[in-house]
Amino acid sequence: MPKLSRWFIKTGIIYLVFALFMGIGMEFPNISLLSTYMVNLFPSFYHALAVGWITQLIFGVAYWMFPRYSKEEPRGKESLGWLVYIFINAGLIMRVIFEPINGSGHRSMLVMTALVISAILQWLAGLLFAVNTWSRVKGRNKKNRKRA
Amino acid sequence: MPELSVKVIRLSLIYLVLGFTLGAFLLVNKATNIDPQIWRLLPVHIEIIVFGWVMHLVMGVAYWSFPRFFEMPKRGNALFNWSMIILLNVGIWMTIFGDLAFSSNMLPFIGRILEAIGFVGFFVLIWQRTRSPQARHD
Repeated sequence: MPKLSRWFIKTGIIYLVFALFMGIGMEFPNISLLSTYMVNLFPSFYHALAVGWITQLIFGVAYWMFPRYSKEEPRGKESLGWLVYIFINAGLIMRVIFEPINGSGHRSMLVMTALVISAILQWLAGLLFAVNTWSRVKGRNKKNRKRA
Repeated sequence: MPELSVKVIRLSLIYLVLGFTLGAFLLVNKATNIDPQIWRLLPVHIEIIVFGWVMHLVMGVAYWSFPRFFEMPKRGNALFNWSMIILLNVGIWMTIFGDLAFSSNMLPFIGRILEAIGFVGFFVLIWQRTRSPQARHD
């Protein structure tokens, strides 16, 4: 398994555990030290599961197991893969921190800017993953065999 | 990778970009309050991510990699499988347009039925292919 896939999958597992603890925290908003923060965790909780866990697991496994792009670059552009990893995680961490703050009414230019940057980073991660993976989704015809 | 998997997985990548674009739009709107009407895109975002991105990817990979039948056609009847994928996609878009543009519940209702037929038909095939590679009569 390539290094990037290991990073995607292990980070995904960390998000899963993190999301499960968030879920526990959300069930006890009144006794939590960060009560106003906790009650606004709902969207972050679902995105930690859907983007942090499921999407990163898919990205990691797809990067590892999809047909090879070419002999020289079997998994497409590796640098693009690492950019996807950095963008999706930076975007998601910013979202998990700032979205509940925004939801609890503590709006500021910092919070607004962080959420906009988070949106752009996650969108770029999805776009770059699709671009890097597109050419690896192919049948086994003669032309593809020769290139691989 | 068989042609159906190539098409379905590539379609899932298109849905991924579309779903992430809507998600980014929703998050920017949450931060900046551009227009409350943008919140109407939330069910569309969820529909595209769950049924468009994740489910198409699962279906494409399952069709490609699960154990094949011993007899032809090795991956099941191609026409039937294509029909299920088309039904699913018509269902997804009927649900989306129903949620967005029409006040009637009929369009999303029919959309959900088509989605259900598409999924059930496809996974009946996958059910039959979920077996040990050696077993002829599991």
